[in-house]
Amino acid sequence: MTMRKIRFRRYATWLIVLAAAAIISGVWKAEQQNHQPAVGTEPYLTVQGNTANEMATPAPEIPQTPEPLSQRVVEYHMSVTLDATKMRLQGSQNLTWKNPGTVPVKELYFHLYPNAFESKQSTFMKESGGQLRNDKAKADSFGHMRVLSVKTVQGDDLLSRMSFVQPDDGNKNDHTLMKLVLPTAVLPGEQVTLLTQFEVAMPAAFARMGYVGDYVMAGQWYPKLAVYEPKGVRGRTEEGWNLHQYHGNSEFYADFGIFDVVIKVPAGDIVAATGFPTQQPVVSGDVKTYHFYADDVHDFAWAASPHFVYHEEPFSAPNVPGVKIKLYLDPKQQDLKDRYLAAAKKSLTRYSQWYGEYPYSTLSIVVPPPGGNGTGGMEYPTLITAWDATEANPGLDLERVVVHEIGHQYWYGMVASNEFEEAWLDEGFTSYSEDRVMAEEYGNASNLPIEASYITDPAALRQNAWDYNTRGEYADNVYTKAKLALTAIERQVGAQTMNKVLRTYFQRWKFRHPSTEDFQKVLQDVTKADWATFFDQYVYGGLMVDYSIESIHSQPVTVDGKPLVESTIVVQKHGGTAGTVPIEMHLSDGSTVVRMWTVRMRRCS
Amino acid sequence: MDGQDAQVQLKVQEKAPVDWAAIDPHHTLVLENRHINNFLKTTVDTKWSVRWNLGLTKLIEIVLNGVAW
Repeated sequence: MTMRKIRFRRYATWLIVLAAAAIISGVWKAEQQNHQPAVGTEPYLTVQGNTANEMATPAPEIPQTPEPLSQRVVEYHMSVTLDATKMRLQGSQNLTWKNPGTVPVKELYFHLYPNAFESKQSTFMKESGGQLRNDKAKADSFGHMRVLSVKTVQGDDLLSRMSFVQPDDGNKNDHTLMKLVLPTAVLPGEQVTLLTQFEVAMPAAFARMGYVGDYVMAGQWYPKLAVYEPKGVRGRTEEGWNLHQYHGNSEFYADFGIFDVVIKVPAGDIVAATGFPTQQPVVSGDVKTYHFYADDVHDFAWAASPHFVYHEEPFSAPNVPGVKIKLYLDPKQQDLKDRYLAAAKKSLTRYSQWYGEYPYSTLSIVVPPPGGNGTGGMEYPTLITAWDATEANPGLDLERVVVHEIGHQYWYGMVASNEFEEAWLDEGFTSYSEDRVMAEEYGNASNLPIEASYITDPAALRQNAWDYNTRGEYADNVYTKAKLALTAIERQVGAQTMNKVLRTYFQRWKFRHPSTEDFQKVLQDVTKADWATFFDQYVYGGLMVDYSIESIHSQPVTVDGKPLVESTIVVQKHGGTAGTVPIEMHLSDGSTVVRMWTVRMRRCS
Repeated sequence: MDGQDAQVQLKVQEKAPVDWAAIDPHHTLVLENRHINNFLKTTVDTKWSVRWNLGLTKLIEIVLNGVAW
């Protein structure tokens, strides 16, 4: 998620205008060579006999990746129908889960995220006060998810085995985490399949999901299985479920797998979704049916609107074998197509060059309508949302949010860290990467000293998202302080080595769930240095760097018979240790003396 | 000088006294979040310092109003 939309707006308006003008003129020219206008219809992969009614069954002719990129722990076959008059979803789910551990598992846990919006007493609403970023929940708008039935493939009804749990705060009014006791345990390596019927009431656009008029963003719209972590994953000493409720300051965590989803919407709607369509949408009466498929992803989101202005463009780069960029614009911004596409291409090119291949065949960009920022600036696998289209001619915020969310395809999408417990691993890494793209591609470097000065409540980077005292403290730390910590590492080891660190981290941990310690190990492996002090201070600890000059005293001295002045400067360290502290002293005769206060890195043994 | 220490005394022997000192004037320490104590001046002309302070305060207010978020 992108945290803040506007930082230096008025201060930098003229800069943005100039930069945007330069970008538009420069990028326009560059893009002319690659630009291929959108064709009227998508070249869908046709799946014979696959009709709207076959929703909850696997589509056998869907092309499979020869070598799975991830350990496919989950397999979802779902069908969902949008009732656009009531803004409700009716869904059915055929879910298969494979036990990745070494002991039998008797219980499954599902995240029912929309229940965060069912009352003001949910943990999310109590913690957030009904506000996320600058977006407020509408007072009379609620949402929920109801599980209507859960059955085994043999037809056994499991509804009575379902209960809500609140492991984080014991708030009995919170129904965002559901426990299901199975009739028989799932043995290691074995799998279980459940058939579920569910209903979702969408709230007015807020906190990543909901509607604005006839636009709907379906994020976290289905019962989503929690992550079962085998021993050793993220330092676990014993295997088990990673269980948390939906919190005001928290995003998500899920396992990789296959998603095969049929989406039924009003006939006039256009649907954007994770993955790729397996066939042309079919219109029957008032209903239009889409069928999407995605593998090696850990979530599936979709959006629908009758007003989307759709463009697509094929794109490839040395580490992007072939992707179709799919843009779903709001009519108000239809003239900005090239800016969105250029930002997407630059992002894909840079990230894939720096970190590794973008292996998916699609990347969808959804622009919410005016008033839809509650669903804007958000990442899902192969689908992102930009800021809403309130402004007809926005500044570089437009590019920055696209660059940020595409960065999440690497840090969240593929390197699937736990956003509940270690949000800095996705937001900090993405903010750091975003800054690089914005500086190198748009000449728009962040003002790091100013951003650092905003951090008034520095805290540990590795902690549960809801353990930060405020939304601001969460954001300042997991976005800004985390980005600065990575930049500090880069300043110490050099840009080239830092790139090798991040590339190695991506390559080692893509399609898996790394922890902070796993990143530290990569850093130590690549730099062959001991980073324990740095991590203890800034990552596991809440320190910042803070040096002060306490005093300056001068007195006349005689050295080798010459009269000189000896000045004594006392420098105090209040925070963590920095590698090298430059201290510049200005003499009354106009000359300058610079001294370095240096701490040496220890080498790894 | 050992960077692990909490405090360090720097001594310079020159023809003229140090009249001001600044830590990291080029902002190489990106994790430094309290820049306000990075600078110290030895002698300050009272009249002008008050005016400078007021002027700077006003300037900072203007800038911060512009970047409020």
